Amino acid sequence: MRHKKIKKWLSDQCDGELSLRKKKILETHLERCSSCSSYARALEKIAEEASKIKLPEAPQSYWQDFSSRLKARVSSIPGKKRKAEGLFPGWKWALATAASLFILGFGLFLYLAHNKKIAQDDYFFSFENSFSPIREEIGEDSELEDVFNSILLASIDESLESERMNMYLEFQGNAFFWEDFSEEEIRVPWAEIEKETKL
Amino acid sequence: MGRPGDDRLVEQAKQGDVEAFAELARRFQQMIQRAILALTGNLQDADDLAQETFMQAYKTLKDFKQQARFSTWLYRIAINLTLNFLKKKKKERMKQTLDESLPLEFNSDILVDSPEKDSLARELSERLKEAVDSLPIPYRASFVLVVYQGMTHGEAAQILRCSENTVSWRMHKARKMLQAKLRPYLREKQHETQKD
Repeated sequence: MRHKKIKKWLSDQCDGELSLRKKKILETHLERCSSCSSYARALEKIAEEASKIKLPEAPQSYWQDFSSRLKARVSSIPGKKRKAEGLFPGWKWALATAASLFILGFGLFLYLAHNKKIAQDDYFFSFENSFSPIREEIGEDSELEDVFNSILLASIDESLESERMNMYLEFQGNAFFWEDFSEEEIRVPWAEIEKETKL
Repeated sequence: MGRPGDDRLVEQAKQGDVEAFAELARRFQQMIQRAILALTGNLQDADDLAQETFMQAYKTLKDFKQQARFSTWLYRIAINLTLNFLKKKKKERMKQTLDESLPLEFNSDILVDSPEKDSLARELSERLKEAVDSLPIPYRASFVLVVYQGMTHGEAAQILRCSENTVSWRMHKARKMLQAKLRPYLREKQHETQKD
């Protein structure tokens, strides 16, 4: 592990990136370790050879040609680009505005759709004359009339019963309803309510 | 009257001053082309990529926030383009298996002032070039910027958009790979120097 670290430090040293403290540790280690010293010599040799490598050098005429070619290419761009920018100076703003308008429109659509639904919910179906066809069916038959009336009364009673239950539940949990009553006064209706609820 | 600074030229070029941009290009063209050349090893490719680098720099100049130096920003574009180019080339070469073993070669026709050296030294130099060319692309990029371009790990990290530690590790691994590839030859050279 230590040798691995030392080899890494040797690489850093080649690039002049090793701190003084590490340099001292490195020197001490190299004095004792032949393997790391050999590696250090190999790196020195590589660095030496790398510094000798000469990349191809282009003549001065090449650079003049390079500049003129580049300038010609660059000159062909800006006219169109700048003009386009002038026409649409804030295309990002335009895009943002379009997005905002879309969101507003969509929001409005949702609002209207919701209101329409509420309006539909508020609509009550009229039962007017809905019994007349049944009445016609019953006609003069008293037996059928009795059955019909009993069903009708039962359904009315059922509906009243559920409303009554709701009413109980509403005032039962309402603290304001009970606040003017004494404990004695509360005990009686409370027992009644419990009895009713159990039923 | 003194030479205008890079920042001022950048501002002028941003306003659409082609001449200011041409001056910036003149200042950095050799530096950029050398870095690309060290990576590609081919002058024609380096020329195309350098031209492309400046074209892209001009097109995206308005996005340059001037938080880094212009040269660093330019290097970044050049290195990105070159690495993409090398990746593409590597894929193509993998398809053409015949060419796979051939290293990238420098165009000897344009070499100027090539020094005459002994054959041994030339051989090691050639082998080192080949070994550098065969390094994986991220390692090669770090090696070229630090060794050939003389950059610090921090400067190379800015260009390669990675941390200094990453550059440091890549340099270490690159050197280990080079040492492994050149080991027999380096040993021979070391024996010779010891004899001397």
